[in-house]
Amino acid sequence: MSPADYALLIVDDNPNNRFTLARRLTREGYTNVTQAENGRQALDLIKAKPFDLVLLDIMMPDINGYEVLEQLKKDPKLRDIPVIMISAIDEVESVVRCIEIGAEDYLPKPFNVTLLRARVGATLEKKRMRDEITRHTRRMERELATARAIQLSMVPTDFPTAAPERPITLYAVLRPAREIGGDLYDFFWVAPDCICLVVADVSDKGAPAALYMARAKTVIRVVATHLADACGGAFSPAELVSKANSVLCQDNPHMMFVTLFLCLLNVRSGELTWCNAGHNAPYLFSREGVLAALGTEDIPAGLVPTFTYSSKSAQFSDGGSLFIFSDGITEAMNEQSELYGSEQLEATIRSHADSAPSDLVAAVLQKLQSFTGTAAQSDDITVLACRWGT
Amino acid sequence: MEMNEGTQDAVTVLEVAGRVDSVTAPDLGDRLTSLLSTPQRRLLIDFQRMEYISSAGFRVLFVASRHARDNGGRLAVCGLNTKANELFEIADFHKLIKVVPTRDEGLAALN
Repeated sequence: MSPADYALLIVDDNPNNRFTLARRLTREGYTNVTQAENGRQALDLIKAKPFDLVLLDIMMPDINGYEVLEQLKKDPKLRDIPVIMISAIDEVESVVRCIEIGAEDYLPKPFNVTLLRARVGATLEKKRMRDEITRHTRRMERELATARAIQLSMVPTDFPTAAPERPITLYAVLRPAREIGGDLYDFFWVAPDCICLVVADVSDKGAPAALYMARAKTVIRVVATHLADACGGAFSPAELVSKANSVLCQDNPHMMFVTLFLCLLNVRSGELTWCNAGHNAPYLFSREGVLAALGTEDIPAGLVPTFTYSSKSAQFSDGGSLFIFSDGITEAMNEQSELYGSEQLEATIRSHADSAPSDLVAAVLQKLQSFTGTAAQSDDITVLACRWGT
Repeated sequence: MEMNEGTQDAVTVLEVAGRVDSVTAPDLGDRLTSLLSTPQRRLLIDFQRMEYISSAGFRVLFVASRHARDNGGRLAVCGLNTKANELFEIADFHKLIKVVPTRDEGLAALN
């Protein structure tokens, strides 16, 4: 920006002072200079159009410089306009008071050209940088808010409710630590009596993780649809994860990876087949609270294209549930930097083993909240609970 | 996070102390990339004084491991604390990176 691009306002009741200052500023290239002869006029002008800098005399009749300054600093819309006080050389205490109220700097009268150039230039440069940061921050905030809305809309929320032929209830929550994150959950039907449940956690946080999360979610769905079409739902979780993994390894020079738990639940029989790619072991439990952890030794997806994943199977008991989660739960820390850990999680699950999925999820999140207190959430949190049977 | 580089028995040893998380991992990544650009580098990363490593840290180790392989070099990691070892085990990262308990074992593995 050149000096002519800045709008300056001189406020002084003395016409000679205004004239001298305006002429000197014009010589420095500041050609966009407005003059006000008292405080009232100055405030009206400032409210009417934006200024980049106000040069303000202290001693004026009616509304003096302090009052103008106070009014500006009180108004959130005008607070950021920099003000340089104009003062007589012997007014040091007045200047100090103005700086305390929020003036940026001061210029002693009679005006010295070098000081004028330096202080006006520095104040305007500071304002330009501040404006730039504000613009940049607003743009980022808007972008991230949109990205968050898009990411949250990528996970389904039309949770199935129990029906005689499909006796399952399901509930899940996704809470990114920052605006966006790398956790995901998903559920979709691959056959009339078979639902696929997924919880995954991409390495790292924020935007890089969010991009890979979107990729992982889409790849898993597309591969599942292909397999379901090709073999009518008769495929194993390991086949699905192996194929999705080889796709996720392509064009992945940054070695992003995703830990995931993927299972297929036969809603008629309660039979569960699952594949665990480096994810925290979920819990399968009876309504009496007998827990089994579903862990394996398979590596996360995205790293080794030829890796062969394995499937295992388990059986839901009538009224039993499955609880899948990301490490944002167990790795959550309180203000003393202590980890939440799996013991407290298991205790909550046991005491809510016969609860509906939404109640179980709410209980887990509430217990976690009371543990972490005011400590900031450091990692994305995902929980999914599914109950089968009557 | 702090990094200290030295040479021992013709192996480059990079000591990493403090937290390796999504904020500091890129710095570690840059350092590893620059070290492993030298062909046939033998590099031992010593995590003896590391407090914490997140998935962002693991990711830069995998990139480094591939980088080492592409440039005919070798990479090993030692000194992981119990917590980090647990993470390595949950995700079975041992299949991807050579991990040994102590520096001496690391030097032996690379020689």
